[in-house]
Parts: sequence; C-alpha cells; structure tokens
Amino acid sequence: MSESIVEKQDVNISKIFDWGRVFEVINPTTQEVDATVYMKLLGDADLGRARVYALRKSSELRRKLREENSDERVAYIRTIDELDEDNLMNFIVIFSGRELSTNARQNVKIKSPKPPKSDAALEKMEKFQKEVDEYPERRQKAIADAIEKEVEKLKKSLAGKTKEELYRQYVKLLVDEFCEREALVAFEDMQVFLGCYTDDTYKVKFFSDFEEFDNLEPNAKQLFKDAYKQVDIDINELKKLRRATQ
Amino acid sequence: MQIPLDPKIKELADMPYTISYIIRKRQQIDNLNELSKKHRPTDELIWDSTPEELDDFLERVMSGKEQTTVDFKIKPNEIESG
Repeated sequence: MSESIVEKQDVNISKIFDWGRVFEVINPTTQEVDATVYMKLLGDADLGRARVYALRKSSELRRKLREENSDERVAYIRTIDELDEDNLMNFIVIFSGRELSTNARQNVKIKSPKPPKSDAALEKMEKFQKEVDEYPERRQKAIADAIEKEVEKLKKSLAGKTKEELYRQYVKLLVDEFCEREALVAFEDMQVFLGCYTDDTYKVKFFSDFEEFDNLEPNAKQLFKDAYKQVDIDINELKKLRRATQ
Repeated sequence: MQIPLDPKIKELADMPYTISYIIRKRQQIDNLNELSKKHRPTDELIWDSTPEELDDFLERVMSGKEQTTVDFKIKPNEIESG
C-alpha cells in the first residue's frame, strides 16, 4: 500500500484551491518591482501541450545522443576506451538507481494499519493513529533494505558481462538519464510560460512567445520556475487529497 | 455530490488540472462504487496503478466469472401433467 493512502487523513484539502498567485519580479540592483506576474496552475489542455513539448525535446536529444559523432554525444558520453570495467559497473549501478528504487517501492509489501470500527474505543483509535504515524518510516526502511538487495543482485549480474556489453548498457542508461532530465526541464519551462499572465483574470499572457521566456537569464528563469512550483501540487500529495473524492 | 468547485473559475478550460483530477477521480470512484464489493478494485489499484492495470482488473473480474445465468431446479413430481 502506498504512503499516500495510509496518510489519507493527514491532508489539507484547501490547498487545491490555492491555484493562483502574484509573483513580483524584483530588480536585484534597485530592489524595486520590475514586473508583476499573475501565475496560475495550468488546465488539462495546457498541461497536454507542455507534455508534448517535453516529449519532442527529449526525442530530439535522444536522436542526437545516438549519433556517433554528434556534438551532444561527444560532449556527454565518454568513449569505451576512456572507461574501465569498474567505472562502467559503478555508472550502471548509479544510473539504475531510479529503476531499482521504483521496483523496490512496488514490491515492498508492508501490512498497512487496519482502521478500527467507527465505534471503536478511544484507545483502539489512538493505537491505529500511532500505527499510521509510524507507517512511512517502517515502509521507508523496508524500501531501503530492498534497494540494497537489488543493488547487490545487479552487481553480481554485471560481473559476468564483457566490457562491450557493459558499455552498451552504460550508454543506454546515460541516454535515458539525459533525456529524462531534458524532458523534465522542457516540461517545467513550458508550464511556466503557459502559466504566467499580466492580469489577475488570467487573460493576457505575460510572455509574448515561448522564446521570450526561454531566453531569460538562467537565474531569472529559475525564479519564475520556483514561483510556479509554489502553486503546483506534487502528484503524491494530490493523491492524499482523496478525501475530496469521498 | 461534493465536487470541489471554485467560484473563481468561470470556464472549464480555466480549471486547474489539480481540480479536474480530483473531479475525475471522484467520478471514477462513484462509478466503481456501483459494483458489488467483491468486484471493486483495491485502493492501490485505484490510486497507484496504471489505467491499463485497472482495466485488466475490471476485465478479469467482470468477464465470465460473474454469474450471468440462473439455474432452475425442476422436480419431476412438481411438473403438472395433461
């Protein structure tokens, strides 16, 4: 059972109504407000646009990374001669981390606290609440143990492979990792571009086109992204809002 | 139905994806609650599985295994003759 389900009673439903905010762009030299931005969470259609943009960017990078002599390939991926078997194995273990963690999360079975009857004695309800409070920590420990076992298993399986096999696996994992990051950055960029307005009725876009946002100085861009994150809700947190669905 | 609506949202297209997610989930759960208890998916399936996994589950529990025929027991001595 996921943590989000067990922690279901520990939620703040009102958070889903905080979907817009005012963000003031402060000039670092004068400390004066350069611009006022009205940010709002995207709707489904715009979210779809951001996803499509992210997939295109990721696909474009994947194509370049797979080309033997592309600038991206040369810049990001080392040649087989630059790495020995130990390096390759270490990289593979590191870049497999996310997959190992996902598998461990899916496979770890920790008995979830069983809710008492609605008319149960107060002591039973207290006991249940204690079990609920302790559940995330118990689950995290079980997941950490499971990941450790998976890492050992992976290391053993890698030990029997040739350098060429290890290199192919290293390249595949590295390409996946770069593309994952590219997709995430592109998705966030497009979200912020689509979510910024000049007015509190969210009718006039703040940036005239995506390039205007994309060409911002990196620190300024990050400020916009951080501001947007404050109105966004992580999917796991969103699942905790299941009380709103019952 | 206590769908979380917000008076500030005037058009459907303006609805933040978080609120439409909650509404869709609420509708899904309402629909699943129409099923008998033994045919309902678990919380894990509803909240943490892929749509395909949920579909597979529903296919499995609803296809063939559910009793769709009724058996009549007919005793020969209860059949009226002539």
